[in-house]
Amino acid sequence: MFLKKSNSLFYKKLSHIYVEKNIEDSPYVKEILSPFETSEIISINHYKDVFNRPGQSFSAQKQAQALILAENKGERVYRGAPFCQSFGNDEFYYTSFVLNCLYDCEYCYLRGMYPSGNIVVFVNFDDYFKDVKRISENKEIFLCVSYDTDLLAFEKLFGLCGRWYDFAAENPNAKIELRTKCSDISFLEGKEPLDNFILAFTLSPKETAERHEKFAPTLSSRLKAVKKAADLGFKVRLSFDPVLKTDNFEETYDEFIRECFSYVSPDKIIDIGLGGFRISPKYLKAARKEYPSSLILNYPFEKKDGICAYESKAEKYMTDYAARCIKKYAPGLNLYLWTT
Amino acid sequence: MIYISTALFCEAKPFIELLGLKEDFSFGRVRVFKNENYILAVTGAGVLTSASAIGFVLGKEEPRKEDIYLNIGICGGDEEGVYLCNKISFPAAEKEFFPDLVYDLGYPEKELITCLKPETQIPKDKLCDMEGAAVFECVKGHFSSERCFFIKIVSDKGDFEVLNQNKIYCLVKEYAEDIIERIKTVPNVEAGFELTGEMLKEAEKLRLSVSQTVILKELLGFCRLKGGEPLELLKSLPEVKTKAEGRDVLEKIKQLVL
Repeated sequence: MFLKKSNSLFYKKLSHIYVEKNIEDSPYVKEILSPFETSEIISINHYKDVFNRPGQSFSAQKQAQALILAENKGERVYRGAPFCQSFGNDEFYYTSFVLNCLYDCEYCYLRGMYPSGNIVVFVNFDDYFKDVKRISENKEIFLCVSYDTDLLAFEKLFGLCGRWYDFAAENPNAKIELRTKCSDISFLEGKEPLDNFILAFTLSPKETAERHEKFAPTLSSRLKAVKKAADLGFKVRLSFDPVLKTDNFEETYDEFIRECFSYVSPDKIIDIGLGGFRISPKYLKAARKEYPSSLILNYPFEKKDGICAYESKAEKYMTDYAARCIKKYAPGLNLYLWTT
Repeated sequence: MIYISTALFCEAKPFIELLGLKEDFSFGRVRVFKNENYILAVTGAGVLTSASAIGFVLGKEEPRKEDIYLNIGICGGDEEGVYLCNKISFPAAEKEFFPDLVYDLGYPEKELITCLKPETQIPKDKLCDMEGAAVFECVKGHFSSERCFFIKIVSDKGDFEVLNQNKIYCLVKEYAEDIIERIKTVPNVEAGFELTGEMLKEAEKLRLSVSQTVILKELLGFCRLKGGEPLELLKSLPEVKTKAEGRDVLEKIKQLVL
């Protein structure tokens, strides 16, 4: 009479999939759903009925992430946020097919940004592409497509990076940056490098990756992917961002940056982004509520110009030190530094 | 605390017996049974009655972050058994609600339809009751969404006239212990750092402003996370006579903690 309870306290990730009624018959939705035979499929009117429910716990939901398939009828392409680096590009935009991430990095601003830890995938890709085409019609733009998620981590499920690559191939005015911690770059197989398609790998010291970047690949796996992409001729950017306070900071960052350039030759990298940890006070407050025992998030940051960051002296010391290490191991490489 | 609501007394009785709950007469017309870990309300049947009863109970009690809400009751359905509701539809108001499914209780899931009167035609693979949507609307925002569970036991296939209080009591009793055992597996939530009374007393001596006290709390919380003893730290500080000295001491705490 009674069902045996599974040993896990949490539902498996993606065990529940919510689908907006108006897209249920979309061929792409059917394609996405095909590997999820055992998941519960629940029909909804609007993604916000689930994603914006009151009183949700981001941290609990991250343990049992549900998937929400929806259509984005609102704004789809945004001007780049002041917290983010534009790498010298004046026309800086970002967009996202996906809200939330499969990885669970302790310092991630998403922990305070969204009311839910569940994953939303907007399936009206053509609307996004039309928007980007319109914006880039008469000018070159820099468009980041993997900010509020890690798009590449979902590639086996949704194939979205491949779609952006195809779009970039046909729209040279749109310089696409795909930022990731994922080490599986098999979607590039058989593809030609493009001048306007940049793979930006976020790298952290080995200990940081192991302790604070849950579910993300190890540093060495990421470096192997960096090397492979660079060897294939793709434009590769490295992002040492955020720089975090760590024990033995100098030794840790010196070793980390040395290791990076022992894997990949600096002349195969287009540039590096470097920045100290920073977050909006609103997101920090929400993230701390969800993660009260996180040493990273509960650090007594200084509030400077509407941004919470390490105290100026410490931030400057850390980013300057890391910059010196980069100059030591990769002299001549373009470095974009972000400080508060 | 685990909050439980049922529509009928005969649905509540197995839990009252199992958990050893005592009636608390301070809730007026709403029958409430309690002990130190559970509070059970018998709301009455129907959306209006149940909503007003739960509103009354939640107006009197103040749920905390770690509390759990459990709505239990019989329902119509085409297959017997106990189910967890993954969607609650309320056709009368054209509304849909979605319980947050994070903790796996191991029960099969179904959509619940809340009706204004007893339903004789049960849609295939759905459950029908007369309270679920109203309860959801009342408790949302009071509890963390993933800590609310809507559990329904199929009592009939629309032929509810065969039911009587004793049959309902026996049916719910069959599942009561299993439901409670499963709910007990829901993990507790992590508590944030709060200044204790003793810490507040020490902090008052520092003559800090309200915003400086917020910074102090942040620093002491970080000190605790790093394995330090915030109270010991506060006690070790020099005496403060002016606000300026307080500001200096706050800076000193910062240096010590970072």
